[in-house]
Amino acid sequence: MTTNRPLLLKLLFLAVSLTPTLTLLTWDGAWVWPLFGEFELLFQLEPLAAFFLLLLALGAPLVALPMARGTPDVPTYALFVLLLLGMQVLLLAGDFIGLFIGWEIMTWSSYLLLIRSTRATLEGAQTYILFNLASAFLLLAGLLVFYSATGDFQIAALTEASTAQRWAVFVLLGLAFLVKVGVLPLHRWIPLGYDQAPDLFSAVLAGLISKMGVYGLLLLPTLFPDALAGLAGRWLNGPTAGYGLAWIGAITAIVATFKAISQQDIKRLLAYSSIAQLGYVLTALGVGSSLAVGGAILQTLVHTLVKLLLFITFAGIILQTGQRRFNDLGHLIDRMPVAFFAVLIGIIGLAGMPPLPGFAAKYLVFVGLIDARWLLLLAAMMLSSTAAFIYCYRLIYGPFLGHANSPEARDATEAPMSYLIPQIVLMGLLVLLGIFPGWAIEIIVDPVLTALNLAPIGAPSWGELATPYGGYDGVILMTVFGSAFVIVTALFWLARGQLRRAGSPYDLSFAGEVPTADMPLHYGAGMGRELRRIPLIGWILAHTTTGIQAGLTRQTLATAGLLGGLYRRDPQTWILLAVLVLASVPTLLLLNGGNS
Amino acid sequence: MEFSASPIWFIALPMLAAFSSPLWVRWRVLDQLLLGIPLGLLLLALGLFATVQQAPLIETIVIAPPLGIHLHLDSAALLLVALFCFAVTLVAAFLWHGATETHLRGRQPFVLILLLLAGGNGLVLTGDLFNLYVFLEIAGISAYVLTAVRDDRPALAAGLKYLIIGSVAGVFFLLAVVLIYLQTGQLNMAAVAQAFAEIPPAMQGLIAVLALIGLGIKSELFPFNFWVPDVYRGSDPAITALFSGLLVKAFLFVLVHLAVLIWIDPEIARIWLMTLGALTLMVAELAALRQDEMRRMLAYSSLGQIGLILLAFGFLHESTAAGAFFHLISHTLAKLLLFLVAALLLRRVLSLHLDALTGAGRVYPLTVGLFVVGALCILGLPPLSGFMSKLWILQGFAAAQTFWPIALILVAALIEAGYYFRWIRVLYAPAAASAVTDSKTSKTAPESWATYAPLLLLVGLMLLLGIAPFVIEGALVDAARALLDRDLLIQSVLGVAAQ
Repeated sequence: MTTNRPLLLKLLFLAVSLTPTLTLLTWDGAWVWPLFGEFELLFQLEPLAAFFLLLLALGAPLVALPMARGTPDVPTYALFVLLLLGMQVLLLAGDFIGLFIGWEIMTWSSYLLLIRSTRATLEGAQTYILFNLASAFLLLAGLLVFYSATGDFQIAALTEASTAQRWAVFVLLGLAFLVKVGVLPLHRWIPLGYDQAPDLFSAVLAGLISKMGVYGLLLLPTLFPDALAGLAGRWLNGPTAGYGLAWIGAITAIVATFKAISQQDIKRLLAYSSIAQLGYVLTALGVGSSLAVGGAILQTLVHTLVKLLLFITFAGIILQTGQRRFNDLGHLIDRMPVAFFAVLIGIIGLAGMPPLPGFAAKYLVFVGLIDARWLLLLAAMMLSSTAAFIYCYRLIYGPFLGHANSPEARDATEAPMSYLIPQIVLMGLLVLLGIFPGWAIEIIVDPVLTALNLAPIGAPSWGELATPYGGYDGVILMTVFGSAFVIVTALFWLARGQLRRAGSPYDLSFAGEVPTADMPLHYGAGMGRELRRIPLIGWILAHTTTGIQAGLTRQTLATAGLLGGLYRRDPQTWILLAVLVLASVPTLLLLNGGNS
Repeated sequence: MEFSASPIWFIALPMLAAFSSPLWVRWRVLDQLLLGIPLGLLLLALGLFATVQQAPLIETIVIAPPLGIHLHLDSAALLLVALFCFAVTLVAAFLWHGATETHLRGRQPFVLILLLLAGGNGLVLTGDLFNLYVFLEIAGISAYVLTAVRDDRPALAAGLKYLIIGSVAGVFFLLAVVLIYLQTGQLNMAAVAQAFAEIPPAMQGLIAVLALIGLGIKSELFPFNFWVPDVYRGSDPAITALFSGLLVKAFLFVLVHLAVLIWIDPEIARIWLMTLGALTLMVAELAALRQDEMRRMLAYSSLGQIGLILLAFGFLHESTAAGAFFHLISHTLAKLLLFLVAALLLRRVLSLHLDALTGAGRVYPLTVGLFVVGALCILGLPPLSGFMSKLWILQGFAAAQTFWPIALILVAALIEAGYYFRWIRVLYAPAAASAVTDSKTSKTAPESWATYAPLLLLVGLMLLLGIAPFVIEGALVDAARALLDRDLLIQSVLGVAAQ
């Protein structure tokens, strides 16, 4: 009986990780839970929430599988279950109180999961929780203003409020969700948190938790109908308020992309790439048209799949090698071929290249921008998505090609099955979505668009993506790319015998130059360093918000010290103070009384 | 039936039991009685809710008011009395099974804790100003001695400081009572409330300031609360739990109650109370940021929450006052939990300093896990009761279109999160886990489940109130109504007198 206990625990954990799937399939109707006064919680499954629940249903079991490996860690399991519960409450909530409750449970349970990592520093943990709680409290403030305007917490259009109230709600809620999405300059918790979290939990952070911010942003059009145009009119072919949001997203995407390129740590690079990818989503949401929002939803789906795939794969690599920097890895292609293919598929999806669905998503967003005539934004998006190729290249080159730069990388073996199964499932899903973009549009995207009162995009067939500005056939595209890949690989294998092997780093010593331990010989080492020479980009990379945050912390602590000093006196001081107050207040009162 | 329904039992029973303690020592029933008496009173209080909802119970002693002394049990007082009895029951249960320290066993703490309960109950029940002063001293003196009961250097120093500052507070309050008596010839609160408007304005101000300083020191408000961290640091954590859960709440209630009764102009009362509350909240939360000793940190956090409760009461609005009562309850639950956890930790490690506790969460998972739950409740994170009570207060302010307290409360909560999460992070730090293990795992055997039972009960209550706040909604709204309805109180007291 005792020998079976760990197994039972693991099975129970895996079963609980399937609850989002169960909720998605079976939740029907509305469930009301009274609180106090006239307030009650309403739980129902709206199409918009159903889309995000789908992401959760996909992601939770795939991450839970590798998490269940090894000796059962009961606190981690319990916290993960709480996290899933929180996210489901958040998504099912039909009113703001339920949304907030779910949001907060998600926040603190994810924090407690994060500090279970041995790498979490005090600074990282504090940054994570304070940014997230600031976001939560902004949300609370926003929904209290909403309540004061409508007398109700139901998520519904804010029609009868004054302009000031509408702007207050928009700014407070917008800021709350933007912190969660990690828009610059409110992003600092993302690289720190994703980097320091337990490796598998980073997948949850990037793939699932950050998507709740997107969910929040998608609620804004519900509150302010007509795609935010009611707030401040229109600009060119889109809403003015959205134009601001779109620029925030575009600038975030550009800066985060360059930041990502210059990272030396794999998980930090992935964190910055998450910020950049969600920047695209924000830009698309700003446009607010059916094409752009459709693109944003598809991009959210693809980003979830890609980030789950990449983080799980790199968690496997870190598990096997113990190394997480580009300089310390290399040449894993022979030793970890599945991981290589996982990363290859992942970066194609991340860069938005055909034939994977990332391309369809980006295409829709670009078309949406053209449709709105926001061409400057289109140029910005093009710039950032082109620059993204560089960091995608690093992801495949650094760990998999070149020389193995550490003993661990030289002897690594493929990750355990529990890591490989999610990788294979996710690769399969990405390829399938790439073949059938029309299916993704019809089955997944269109119901959400209809729920947001936007025109569905529709698709002539499951294989085809069609927009007023043209489209493509996923089946043909995949066939072309697939056969090209097969032909090139076959040629490579055939020519393999004739290719000259590259030398080993030890050849250097025969050339008269003996490499020291700290001399990076890897081709990918220091890549991105040269970016600092480019005028504007160099300036951006050299400046961070760390200083502002540190300054703020220092000031607060100084105030705290000053006030704390008040509390370390002797009783006589306290009595003196009481007597002084006693003497001064009546004098003031008398003076006032004498006047009146 | 008349016999059992009297509010006098809430004061008389603990006092009688305390004064006949030699008998209990001989019969060896001290532990049982320390648990049984507050538990019995708690059940009595719970049974009285339905009765009191109809009309307040008034118990006259010797002569009818305004001449005699009377006890006034309305919904607000009953709620607090029930809370106090609950707090003492819980601490008694913890001491019975958990306390290994000799100074917390035996006659002395038995007498003092019961007197503290009697004093606290008396403070909220009495309808007479001089009687109020007497209870203030009873509660105060038992608190001073309880602080010093451990009989070592920091405890004695803390006890002495508490004695000095507490006596000063008593003098201020007594002066206010004397002046009121000289001016109005009345000591009955309802009668004073009626007659207070006729006092010259300057004298009104003086009385108000004297009473405010006296009660402000006692209820730990900002410019008068510098003594609190020292006292909380010096006394035993299980006792501090009572100070933070019972004593402060009683004084705070008295302050708000008197302010509502005596200040004619609610605008002025609102400005004073809300300013004091806001100042206490912000100053305490900021000062707590740099505290590296758990009991001091908890003391500052307690001050901050007191400020928040006063801010909500001071708005003098039914919705926020009900929320304030709720927050008072959930703060008592959370602080009982946190201080009892500190007591448990103190048994195993030499010091409650931040450095000494690094990595304790990996050695004592259950104890530190309970600390995390308590911290989450104080921070007002769902699904614990602290969230619902804060939400209630906040929605009250939002409904009244007053937004500055909302901003203040949220900023304060963020600062509070800054230090609580710092503690949580350090408690779970991976590095120096060995330091804690080395210091003294061997000091005591692992605690039995009976030690944890009271703490788990607290967690259960926090969850219950956080998920289903409607179970106490009626009591809270009644309490808020009873506290704020000045005319009803005057009429119910003096109406009895007229008969």
